[in-house]
Amino acid sequence: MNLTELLHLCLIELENGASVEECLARYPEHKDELSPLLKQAAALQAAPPPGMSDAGFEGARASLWAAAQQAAPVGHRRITPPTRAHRSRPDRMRTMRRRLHAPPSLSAFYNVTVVMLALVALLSTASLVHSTAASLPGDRLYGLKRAGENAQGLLMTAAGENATWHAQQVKRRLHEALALEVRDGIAPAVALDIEKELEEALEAASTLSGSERQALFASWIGEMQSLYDEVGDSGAAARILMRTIATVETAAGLNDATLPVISATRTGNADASGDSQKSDGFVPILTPTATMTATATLTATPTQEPTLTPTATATATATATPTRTPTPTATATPTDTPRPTATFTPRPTNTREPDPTRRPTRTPAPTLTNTPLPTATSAPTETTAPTPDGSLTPIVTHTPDGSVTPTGTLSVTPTVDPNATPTPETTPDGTPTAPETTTPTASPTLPPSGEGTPTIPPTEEPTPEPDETLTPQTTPIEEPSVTATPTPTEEPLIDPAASPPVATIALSPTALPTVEPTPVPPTPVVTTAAPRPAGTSTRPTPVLYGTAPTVTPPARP
Amino acid sequence: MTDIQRNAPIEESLLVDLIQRAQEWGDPRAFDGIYLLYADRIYRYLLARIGDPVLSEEVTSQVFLHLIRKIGRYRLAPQDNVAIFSAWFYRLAYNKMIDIQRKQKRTRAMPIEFAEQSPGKHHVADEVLEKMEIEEVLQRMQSLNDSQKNVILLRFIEGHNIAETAQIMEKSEGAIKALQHRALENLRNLLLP
Repeated sequence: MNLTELLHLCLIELENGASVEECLARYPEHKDELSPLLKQAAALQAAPPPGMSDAGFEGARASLWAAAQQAAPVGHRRITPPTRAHRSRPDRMRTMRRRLHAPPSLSAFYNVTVVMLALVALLSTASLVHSTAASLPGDRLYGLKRAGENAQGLLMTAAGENATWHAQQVKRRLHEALALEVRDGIAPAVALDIEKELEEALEAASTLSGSERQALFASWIGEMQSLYDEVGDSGAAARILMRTIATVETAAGLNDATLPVISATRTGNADASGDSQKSDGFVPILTPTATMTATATLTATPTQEPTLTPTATATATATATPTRTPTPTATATPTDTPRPTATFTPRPTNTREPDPTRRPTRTPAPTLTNTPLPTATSAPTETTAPTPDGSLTPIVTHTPDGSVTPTGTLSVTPTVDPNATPTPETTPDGTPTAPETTTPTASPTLPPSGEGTPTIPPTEEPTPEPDETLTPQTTPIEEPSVTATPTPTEEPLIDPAASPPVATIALSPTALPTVEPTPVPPTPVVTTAAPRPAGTSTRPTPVLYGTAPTVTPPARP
Repeated sequence: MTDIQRNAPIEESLLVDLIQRAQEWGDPRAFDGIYLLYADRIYRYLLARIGDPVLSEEVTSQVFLHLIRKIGRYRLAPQDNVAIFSAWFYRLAYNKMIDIQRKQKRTRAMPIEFAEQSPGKHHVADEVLEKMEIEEVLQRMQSLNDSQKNVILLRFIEGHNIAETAQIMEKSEGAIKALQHRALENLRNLLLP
């Protein structure tokens, strides 16, 4: 056993209460080497540990208390300062000895120095105020800065500008957070302070009148937006700033349920690839909802008795007016009795001004061969004056590579005019088919929402890659039931000039038109992890706490 | 935290409570409790490196002000936070000391060649074998390297055992045993007249 191990064993015995002589007696052959080391170690262990002087200890404690109070949230401020800490007698004796050996200059000129510093402080008040404005939490002047702010807050609150005061405090704390992030990192107390001030500002703003509140929010958001434009979107402080802006915008009513929470100009991350999440962890959520409503009206107006060759005019008009992004307009207008003209023109309109390159250039050619379109019976009765109401609910699905997913509803309500004029040349048993052209500007895909639900599939994908995902849904309210007018032998003509048609719908009076649904690929199911077989051990991820692995807590008092 | 005594033994549950309240709420009383427990320990740690009691007190004060901003970065462990937090806090103090010394462009630590001429030399030489003044010893540990200073401070002044000292210094227990041997020999040679 070498000397290091022997020393270690003896030191353990000393810690357990043995004396130096007892340890040396165990190893007489190493007595000469061990003796001085053990005596020195015993002396070190027996001596009372040194500590700060009482004055230095209490002074540093007071500084820490003041700084912690300033950095703490409002609820933890204004706590009674701690009392003087108790100290053991050996510590006091050691401090007295040190004071006796201290140079006298400190105490002799202490009061004079304090007075001089006070005079200098009074004379340089202006420069001091300027310096405190730039101080940050933890700086010596920060307490003075906050004291000045509190005084200003009392005045503004008394003047009824409580909301403005708290809004200013939010902006000040945000500036401090941004500066702290560069210098030392953001303390949690700063973030809590921002949150607290924000809550108080919004609560105070709720008591203002509508115009005052909007003016306050507009000014507040504008200033924070300018600050955000300066600092960018990276870093914890920037994320706090973004959340604050979003919160204020929500309170101001700028962010409702149908609008994206974050505007595109502010985020700049909502690209087409969907990789909107930057390193700062911010994920903009853009979920607009669009509703398309299409109304188809078929009017059949017989001018003669049903026994004669009637001339029926069926007019189907589908109008899509989305509340938001896409504004499709579908119009179906059969011109003559057997020749209904149906024009379906969904016109999606995006409030974000979608790129013209994102608009589909081609016309999807859906084929209506079933229900929702009017069916003209070759032998209509006079008593029938049907006004069928139909609803088409195509679900327009756009390539979901963006983050905007509008949902549109297209309702087609065809109305058949019983006064349609029958055309003698037409054969009642004919089966006119009117092609209908629909040109959605957002290249909608209409998947079937259920059995019998017509679907208008676009024939090809839009040429450009849109930045957003537009998914208008058109849901038929009810299937139109047209019972009227003669059935022409000729196929109905479609008037494309009536409206800018995009999709062509074939109308078959003898049979219920059916829109063939476009098969929608099933939603892929992503399996995140395969089940681990039984008995397989999973190695836990190592977690570092503090800066070192675990250790047994010290036992020494 | 009126029930916490200055330089008292640190209990795991108490320390965890203080850290949690300081992190979550910035509670000044929590910082005050940490100060009562660690102020003298940090002071001794700094005195062993700086050698100047006055400057060590000043740096100690700065370290605790720095703690207000840095406490959020400490991750509480399921157990043994006394040793882990101590190691983290000592490193925070060391970094702050280096930062202050850089700002001052020079260190006030007294080089050993000047210490030979100081009045305290005779004082230490007379008392070292009978009554060791730890504060003086700490001031004269400047010639030891950092590892030797640490092992003297942690093992014989702070009272940590081998395992805790190894944990704090991030070394193996065997390395700590060898280190304490060399440190005691060098310190003895340093203090002898």
